[in-house]
Amino acid sequence: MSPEAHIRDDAERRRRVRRSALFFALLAAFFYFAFIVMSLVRGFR
Amino acid sequence: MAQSHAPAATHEHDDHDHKPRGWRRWVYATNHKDIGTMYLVFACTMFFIGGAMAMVIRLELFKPGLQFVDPQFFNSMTTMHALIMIFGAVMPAWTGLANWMVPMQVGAPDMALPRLNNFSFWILPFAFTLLLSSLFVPGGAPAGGWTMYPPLILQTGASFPMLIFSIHLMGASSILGAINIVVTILNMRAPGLTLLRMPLFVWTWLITGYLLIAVMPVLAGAVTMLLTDHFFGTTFFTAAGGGDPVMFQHIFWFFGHPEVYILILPAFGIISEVVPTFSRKPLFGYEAMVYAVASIAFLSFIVWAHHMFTVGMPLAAQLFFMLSTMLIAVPTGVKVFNWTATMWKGSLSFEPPMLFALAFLFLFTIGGFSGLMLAIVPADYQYQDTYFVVAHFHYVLVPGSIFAIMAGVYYWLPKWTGHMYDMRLATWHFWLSTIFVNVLFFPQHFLGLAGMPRRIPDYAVQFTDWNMVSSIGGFGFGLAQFLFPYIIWKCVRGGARIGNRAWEGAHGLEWELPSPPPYHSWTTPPSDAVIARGAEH
Repeated sequence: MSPEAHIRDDAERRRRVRRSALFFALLAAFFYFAFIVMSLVRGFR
Repeated sequence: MAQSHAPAATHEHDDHDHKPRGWRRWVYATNHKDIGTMYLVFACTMFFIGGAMAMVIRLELFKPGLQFVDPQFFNSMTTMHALIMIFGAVMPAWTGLANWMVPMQVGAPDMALPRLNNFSFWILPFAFTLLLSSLFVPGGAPAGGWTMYPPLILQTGASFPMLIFSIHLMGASSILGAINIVVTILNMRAPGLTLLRMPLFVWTWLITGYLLIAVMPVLAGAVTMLLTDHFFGTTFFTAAGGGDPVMFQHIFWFFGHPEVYILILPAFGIISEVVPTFSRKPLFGYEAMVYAVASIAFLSFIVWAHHMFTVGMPLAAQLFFMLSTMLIAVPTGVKVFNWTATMWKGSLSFEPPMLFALAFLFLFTIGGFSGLMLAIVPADYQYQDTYFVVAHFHYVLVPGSIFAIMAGVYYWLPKWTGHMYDMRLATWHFWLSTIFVNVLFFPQHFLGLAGMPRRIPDYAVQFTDWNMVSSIGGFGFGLAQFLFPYIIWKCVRGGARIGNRAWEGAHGLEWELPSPPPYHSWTTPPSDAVIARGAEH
């Protein structure tokens, strides 16, 4: 693989790392808030 | 922040093996091996602190009556022992092993997010300093059990906010660590290393990572609600205000049961590495093992209420949770069968990692069987909150998780240090641990079946004999563990040099690197031939 292709590949990998890290962080935040909201909703019923 | 696979020629400068010196190397660490080492040292320290608390418990229970500590302090010891062992010893030990091994096993130079890795480690010392310092505040450390059930836990004194904040910190550390490991596995694998060519340890950690990301926030949500109930007048779990204390139990165990698998799945990965190596055969049924781990992880989300059968629930719910729990025996049976089949007609040798793996196989299975007994609703009505439960989960966690950690450390220690450790001492460590762990926990089955409740500092005189035996086992097990850091320290200092492959039958990318490996593991991705050689499961 040429050095240019490596750099392209590397930039793409960085993007994928950032995107997947953000996705999992949002997933974790969703679980945190979802359980609190679920408890609130149950309390109001 | 993301590490690169690009060859050295494309970098401005090549800083491989130029380690930072002194305290900066550790405080500012971004190297996966350094962070892995810090996790393992931290876990070992917590193992001894939590172990000291276990000694207090066994000392008090040596004889009936109150001898050494008052009941409040005894309850603090049981609560803190559990929190420290689960969140401070076993989980960081797995993260440490993952930090050391995952990049090496997937052909990556480092973790995907090295600075996040530093942050997730350094949260831990603060979390546990906070938790341990609660021993010194008025009212003492939390004593309501690690499950933190309201309304009891809401009566905790000044240590309550310390408990909640430290749980939040531990949770944040675990979630960040898990995100890093999952992202590394998904994005940093060497080209050609497909998912079904990954070592089982990497697979089990990938699935553990997903579990952590899904359930640690649930625990954080539950303790946040406890906090607001205590300080801000909400009544999530307070019946007087229209809340429901049983709801806490449901939420807690929705986290708590997958947590059990968070503690054990990486152990399955280690055993799946060690058994083939010392059987000199490929792992029997690699794909079945992967699917079995995934099935166990999925089932772990739909069995939580088996922890609370006696709380009261509709018959249909009891049946559902009983049967779904029993279903876990199927993929677990697949795993035990496959490990045994791997050894079948293998050229076995019994070095310390294999000894620990074999003990794991027998003793974890005992823990699994007593788990099946507890899954049966009418039987659970008898066993609930007795020492039978204590015996069950200690069989799963001590000769299960902790023996697997020891198998993993003894397996990879020569790779980490470049030296072979003292086999004779490690074999002593194994035999003493295995004998004493059974002396410690097996009698607790008898005590539980005879009706001795858990979490009590005093007991009726008919339970004396087996408690004495159990305590003697506890002291023996505790003393034997001092061999472990000594063997590691001695190995780090020196010993017989070993080549790339410390064990004759070892396969995997980590064994293609020199021992000790370079500061950055795979600066250029391994070739297809190397990957093919390493992927001979």
